Amino acid sequence: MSNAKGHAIGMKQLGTMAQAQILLLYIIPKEKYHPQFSIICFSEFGETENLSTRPLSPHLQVYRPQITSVMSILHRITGVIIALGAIAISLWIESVARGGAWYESLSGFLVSVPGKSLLIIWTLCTAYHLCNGIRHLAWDIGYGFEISQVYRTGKLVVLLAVIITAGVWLI
Amino acid sequence: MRLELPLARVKGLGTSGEGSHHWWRQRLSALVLIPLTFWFLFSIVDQLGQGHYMVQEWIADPFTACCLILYSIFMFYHAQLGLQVVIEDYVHNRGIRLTLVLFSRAVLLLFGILAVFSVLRIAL
Repeated sequence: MSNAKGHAIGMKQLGTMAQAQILLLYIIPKEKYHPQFSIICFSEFGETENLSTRPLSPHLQVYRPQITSVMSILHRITGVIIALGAIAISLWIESVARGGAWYESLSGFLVSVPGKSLLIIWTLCTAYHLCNGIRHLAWDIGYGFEISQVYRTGKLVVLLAVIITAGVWLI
Repeated sequence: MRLELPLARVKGLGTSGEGSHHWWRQRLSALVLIPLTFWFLFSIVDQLGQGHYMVQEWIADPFTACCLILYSIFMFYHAQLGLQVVIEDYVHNRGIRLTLVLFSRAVLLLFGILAVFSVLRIAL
């Protein structure tokens, strides 16, 4: 659930919010209000197409973060980060092919503290996406759907991602 | 009850117009990337900060060159498939969505080819 400015609010506040919304029903024009989902659309949604007329699933704001949902969104975020890193890897290989000052400056950046930090973050993202990807593939062939297994493999993925990252950088 | 013409049912392409093609390609490329990513993670670290000649030697090795080319192709392909899903999920405007999907495809294709070409340039 979110308030008018889009800030998340807790379930405890829902009672008061619900009461407030009943009051607001009398003030707000009908087309800016969803009866089913009880979200009041003020100017941040404005008159834009479908946002102001129907609720869109999944309603991330109303759920308390859980290991399942957080891991799912992390899979996406790490995927995007890895894609950006792939562009950097491609530039690095290109610099090896070109040689000279371009290679020296790029390789100098990669061994510096900021460069190395980015590399370690990239490794962690890759290890996480790799392990969680294997978990997804297991789901795709129908294994691991029990809720206890989902939690267990989820924790295992995070643990393995950290171990792989440490292994890559410490060995 | 099926609200589908027999022709649509035979074609099996659904509402997306491309059936399960994207989903299947994403899984297959993921499968190929599992061993390649392990190989890449554990071998790239030793190369960073090495002298230019050493890195050239490493990439020019036939096994390394083949793995790097395979890794580049599959990673950029998988990245394109994944980014497309992210864009399609969050961008609701059709025109902007198509533009972003095609733009991300173009950028990833460019850098993918750059990586493959550079490996060939070093190795050959």
